[in-house]
Amino acid sequence: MTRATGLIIAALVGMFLGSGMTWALLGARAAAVAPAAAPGARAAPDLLVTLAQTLEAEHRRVDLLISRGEVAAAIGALEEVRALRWPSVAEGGEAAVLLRHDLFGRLLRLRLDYPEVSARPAAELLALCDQGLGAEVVAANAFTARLHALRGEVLEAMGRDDEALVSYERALEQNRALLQQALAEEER
Amino acid sequence: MSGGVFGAGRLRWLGVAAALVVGCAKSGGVAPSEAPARESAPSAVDAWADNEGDELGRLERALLVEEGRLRAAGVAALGGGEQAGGDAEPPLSAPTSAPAASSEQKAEATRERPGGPGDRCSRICALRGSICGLKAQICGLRDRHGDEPRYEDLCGRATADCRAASEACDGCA
Repeated sequence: MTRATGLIIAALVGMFLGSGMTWALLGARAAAVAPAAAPGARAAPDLLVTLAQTLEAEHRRVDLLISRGEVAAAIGALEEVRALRWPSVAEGGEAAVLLRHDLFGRLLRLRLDYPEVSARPAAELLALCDQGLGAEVVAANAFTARLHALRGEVLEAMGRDDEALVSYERALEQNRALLQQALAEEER
Repeated sequence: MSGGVFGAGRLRWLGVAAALVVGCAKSGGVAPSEAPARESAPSAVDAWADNEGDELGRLERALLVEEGRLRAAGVAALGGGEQAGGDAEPPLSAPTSAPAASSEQKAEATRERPGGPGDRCSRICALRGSICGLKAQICGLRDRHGDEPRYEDLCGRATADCRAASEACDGCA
């Protein structure tokens, strides 16, 4: 074996061993960064915080757009966030549902307040209400109460007064519970 | 085997080669799990550089960053039919028959959202607004269905709730 051949073989072996060590180091670093348990177990809180931050930034942007009279842009911005796949209760807990109710409530309020902007038929708005509300049962909160009230508005506009009354009643029950909670705080 | 492949001189080469590979990987490599998401967002944000100093641009940049992280966390945009409110506007029929917004309602669109931070009195007074607004809507329905007890009953309850909320708000320090 010539000296040159020996050197080439040595270099190849060195690269092989070096590569192995590199992947071992990167693997150790990845293990330190990635969650050790199932991904969903630790990803959910981060996901929720990120979702809340996104929604907060979106609300502020919408505030600004509305103050400039750019309602169509504001509605479009909320629609973009609505198009995200929202985490389920299992993924994000009840807070994820509240965030969804918050977004849909803001969007519906805008659509009802500005029917001349990107007009939608009432049936579509009702579907939007139902999509936002979903099937989850959550504790009384202002976002869900508002969404029920908005659903009542839409149903009333459609002439479906009996159903509107049911939605208004749900909103009233939630708000009454919140008022009682707030009043109870004083007594504690 | 002094003349073998792994002689002392060749071991030095092997060490140098290994050190080079490891060194390159450590200095030029990226952390496999976190780098793509964290580094892609700022580059997208840079696209908004023209809006530097503009409040809307700043918020849009912040939104881009957060949306990037959100997507990285697994919240992907829906495609096609599920994206009812996406760019592809569905054909519209007549405008919604929902009542046109009053100036008060339109003002609500820019007011603080329900459930936001605030002290107890602010929350109680905000609840008064919601409850008394509901009372107006419910009793408006009652006016059209005066002969139906359920409308009358709910109007009565809403009126009592509105009164209680108003007293609580007025009495709040």
